[in-house]
Amino acid sequence: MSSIQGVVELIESLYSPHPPPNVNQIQQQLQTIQKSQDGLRLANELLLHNELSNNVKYFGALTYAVQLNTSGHDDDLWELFRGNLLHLTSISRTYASDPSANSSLLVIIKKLMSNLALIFFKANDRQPEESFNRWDNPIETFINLFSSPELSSDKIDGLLADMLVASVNYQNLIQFVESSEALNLLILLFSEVIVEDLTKAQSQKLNLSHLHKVVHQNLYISAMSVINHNLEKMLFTYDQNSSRPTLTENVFRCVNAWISYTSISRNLSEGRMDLSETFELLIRLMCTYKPPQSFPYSSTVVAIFGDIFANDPTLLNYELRSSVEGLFLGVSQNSTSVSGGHEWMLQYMNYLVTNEIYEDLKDLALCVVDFLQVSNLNVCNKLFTSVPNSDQRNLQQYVKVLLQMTNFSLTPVLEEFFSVRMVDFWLDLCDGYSNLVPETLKPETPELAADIFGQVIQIYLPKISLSNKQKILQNDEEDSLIHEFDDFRVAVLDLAESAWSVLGNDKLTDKLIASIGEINPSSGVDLFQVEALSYLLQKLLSDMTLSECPWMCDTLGSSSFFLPNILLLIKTGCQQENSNGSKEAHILSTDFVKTGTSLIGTISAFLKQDSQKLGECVNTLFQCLESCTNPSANDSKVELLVTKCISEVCEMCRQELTSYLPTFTKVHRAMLQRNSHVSNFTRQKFTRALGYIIQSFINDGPEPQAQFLSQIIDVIADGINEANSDRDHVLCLLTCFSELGSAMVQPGEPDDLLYLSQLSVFLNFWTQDPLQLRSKTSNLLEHVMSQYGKDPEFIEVGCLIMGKSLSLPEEKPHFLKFQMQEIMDFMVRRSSNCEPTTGLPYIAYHLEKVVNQYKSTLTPQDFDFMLSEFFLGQHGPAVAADPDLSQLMVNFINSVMDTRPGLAIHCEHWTTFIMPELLKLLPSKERFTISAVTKFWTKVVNNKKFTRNDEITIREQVSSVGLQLTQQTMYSLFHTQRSDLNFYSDLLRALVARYPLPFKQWLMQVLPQLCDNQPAHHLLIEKLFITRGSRAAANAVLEWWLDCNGLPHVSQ
Amino acid sequence: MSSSGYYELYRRSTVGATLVDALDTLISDGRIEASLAMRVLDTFDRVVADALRDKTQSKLTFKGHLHTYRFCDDVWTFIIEDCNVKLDQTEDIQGNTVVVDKLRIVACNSKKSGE
Repeated sequence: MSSIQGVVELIESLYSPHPPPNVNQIQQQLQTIQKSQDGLRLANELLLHNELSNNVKYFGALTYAVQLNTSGHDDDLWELFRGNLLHLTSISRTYASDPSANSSLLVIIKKLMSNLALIFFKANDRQPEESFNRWDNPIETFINLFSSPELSSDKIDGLLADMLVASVNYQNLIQFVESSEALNLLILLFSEVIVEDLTKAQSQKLNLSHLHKVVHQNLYISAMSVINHNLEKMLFTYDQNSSRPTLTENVFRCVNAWISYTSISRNLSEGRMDLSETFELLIRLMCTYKPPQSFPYSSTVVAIFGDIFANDPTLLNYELRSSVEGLFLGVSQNSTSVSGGHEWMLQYMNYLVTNEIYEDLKDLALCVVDFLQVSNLNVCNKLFTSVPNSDQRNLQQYVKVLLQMTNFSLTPVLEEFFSVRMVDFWLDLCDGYSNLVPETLKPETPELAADIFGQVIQIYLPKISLSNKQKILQNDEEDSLIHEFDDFRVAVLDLAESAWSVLGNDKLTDKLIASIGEINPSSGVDLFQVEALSYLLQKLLSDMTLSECPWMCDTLGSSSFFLPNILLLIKTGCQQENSNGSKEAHILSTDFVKTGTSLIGTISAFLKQDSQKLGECVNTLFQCLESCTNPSANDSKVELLVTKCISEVCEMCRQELTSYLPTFTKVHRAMLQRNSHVSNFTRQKFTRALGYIIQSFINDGPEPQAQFLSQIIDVIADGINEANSDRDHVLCLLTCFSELGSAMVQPGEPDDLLYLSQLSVFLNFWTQDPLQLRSKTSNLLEHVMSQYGKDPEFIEVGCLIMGKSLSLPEEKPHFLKFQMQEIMDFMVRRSSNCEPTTGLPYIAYHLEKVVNQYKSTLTPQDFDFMLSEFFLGQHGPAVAADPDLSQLMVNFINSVMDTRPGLAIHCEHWTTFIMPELLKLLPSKERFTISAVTKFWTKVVNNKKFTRNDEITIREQVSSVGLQLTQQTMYSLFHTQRSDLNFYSDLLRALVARYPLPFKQWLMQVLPQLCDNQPAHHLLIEKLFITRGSRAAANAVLEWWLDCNGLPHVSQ
Repeated sequence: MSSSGYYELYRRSTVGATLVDALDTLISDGRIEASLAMRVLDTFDRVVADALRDKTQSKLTFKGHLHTYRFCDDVWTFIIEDCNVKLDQTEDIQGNTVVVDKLRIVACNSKKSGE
């Protein structure tokens, strides 16, 4: 061993503020010494000498910890116990002699205490007779040793053995902690360290029941005595204590540690550690009022109770919970007596509000509502069912207090959290009510429930008003509170949805509509109110299918100011967006427009029935669009919202809007101009909206429809020709073309008799295409591609246009129904010119769609052609070098294996390229490649789409490459990481299921070549074949992998 | 559920699986002991559960046909066919609905056992 002085120097340099460059080497050197047989002696030496620095002493304590974790003998444990305890006592004495000067010793003391805690656990995690000795109570041992005179080392062992079992009575215990504040603090700290470490140890060991029992019978009694003594002192000698915040903090920290431990251990040990006395004292401390500090402990105790109610509320017994209920609410659901303690709550809330201590007010809200949630179901049963012994008058008073609390008068989120947290309470109460068995309800229950939840909604309407968001925006410099307020609004939406199941349309939806409709737009509208009402209404209506609810449309129609108010909301939002550039105005106006446009989109089925209202709405939306398409606007969100709304209305009311086609076409032409201020999103969405209307313009046959389409294509083509060099504008115009094509797809199954009667006429018309729209389209695309053919975004949109009808059934007409050959030619031309890494993925995507659409007519030769043309020819080297492209190719083959595997199996490339190359790709390092390749082989081994002929071919081929396949798979599996195991497991399962006998032979040949672990290999083979390809096989594979790689079996 | 009272199911998430891979590598290289890896995973179980409970607000709604439901060992399983999943609170203005053939929901009790 190096000399102690040498080690000390190393430690000092390790902890120096400017460590030397070889710090890692020093660290490793010290770790080696710590783990060596000299570790114990080193630790002792480092802690023994007063002149050594605290860093060195701490390292000594740390060395004890290392020895503790590496040693396995009972003899060593005794030595460790002896050393740690003696040094703890000695250093504690130094600390207690002058706590303020020696406060830096606390770190070392804490480490030694933690070591002793571990020894205490080791001594007690077995039955007593097996233990190195009996050790019941570390605190008592510490007190005994501390109180004894210092002894010579030869007498120490005997004394320690006696002290292990010697107890300290209550009087001596209190006398000890009373003798000095430092000793009091040390006892609290030791107790805290033990239970904290025990809580952590619980997560690693399964059976600590004996240890819990020892703690319960001994340590718990001492610790509670000390804690409760301290809490009582805090109650009665507050003024003297006020100068000692450290001790107070320690007491509360110790209390918290015991609460966490009790909560975890109570389900795992015999008996139950009761903390009721402590809780009673905490409640009294919470209610302590001492001027001038007012409420010195309330905030800390509220936080402690908040944690308990959130995690383990039943730690408090029924009586204590009733007492807390009385304090919080002034009324208990179970008794008629009104608690005087509620006065404290009112004063405390008043104090927090007056002094604007909103953080503590938030903690109080969290604590109170978490507490209420504990008895939510109970309240629900007592309120709404005919359970006996419930005092209804008292219960209704209780609900009244809860409603008042919800209606806390400050701004939600910014100043108060009661209303925010109470959303969950009311939601749970509402769900609880909805789940009650109808037979258990009292006759008056539906009325009572409707009354309560009606009031709740009325309380929340002003709470979610954007006027509150405005206040937050004016106060909050960061966005966090804004997000919290938005979350609050979303939570209220959920509550409204649940409340609807109680209130129904007549008491909720209709009332919201009527409230909006009652506000006369000509006499000064409170738009904040309209917004809040619309916000809730939109959510409720979005859950209905308005076209199937004529009564709801009637209600909407009968409310005269309803639509004008919603349109006013949108108009005002758009105007504010333009007039005021502040962030606040921008956020609020966006919210106005968002709520208004969402509601209009949701009620578009209602607008469909009233052409006047539809016209009014469309006009307003276009005016808004015009006003908000400001090129200097820094955010186009409002424009996007309005455009999205127009698109939704056009989609729903396409037939009713056909008379607007000439006007819309003009607007569209203006919009597509390069100098127009609208965004590209608006251009594309509006083209789509226009497409919807043209799609339903069928009354006069296909010719007029085709004329409109031709006009739009001409506008797009003209725009492209005029601005050929403006890449973004040309791309936007092509995307508009694609949107037009999408809009022309008939939605769902056609039920329009007129359309059905003309179906054959339309099919015939588009097959002949007298206006040559398809040829116009392909010429336009070729023209654009001659300039932008390498640009992947153009390839994407070009493929989208050419492949628009690829997923359409034969009998559906479409103006872009190209022949397969035309589509293939287009893709071949794009492929020959594109950059494979960026362009090929779009082409491959459409290639899959082509195979899917024309699977019955394609031949293996066609598949050979596709593979050669797109993946192996010109792009072959790129595909081989780039894992993403390899994955793309394998995925294309996989899609064919899913669609019609015979195309791939019987092609020439199958044996010359696909099988050998995909075998080589099995040990890939890229997860995506592994996923694709293992999927391929799984489909080869097991595929329900195989014909008999396919099956015969595949059986023969798999039998011949089986050994190689097994070799590659197991090699890859062995060398892969754990998260990729399942990909290979799936393939192994398929092999076990389809080729059981040969696969066993292959495995027996292959596994010994991988690593020398015969038992694991044997076990794997056995388990694989017992599980017969089921999901359990994955576990067998994982176990084999862990064994062969020398890794521990962590449960997964 | 692990002995610490937290589920181990998040270890199968992408972040969990990646953490397990990293720990495997560290153990194989002899840079950490297996016991430390297990402690890290225990901490991961706790932190993920706490973070998902305390720091997330996202919600999604779905509509579809309930094909299967079962409740076994405190675990609910629902299989929903032809499901329309709507993600709330996304900024995706162009539509935020995902349509899936089959949705499997596995739901465990968020409260600790015994409560």
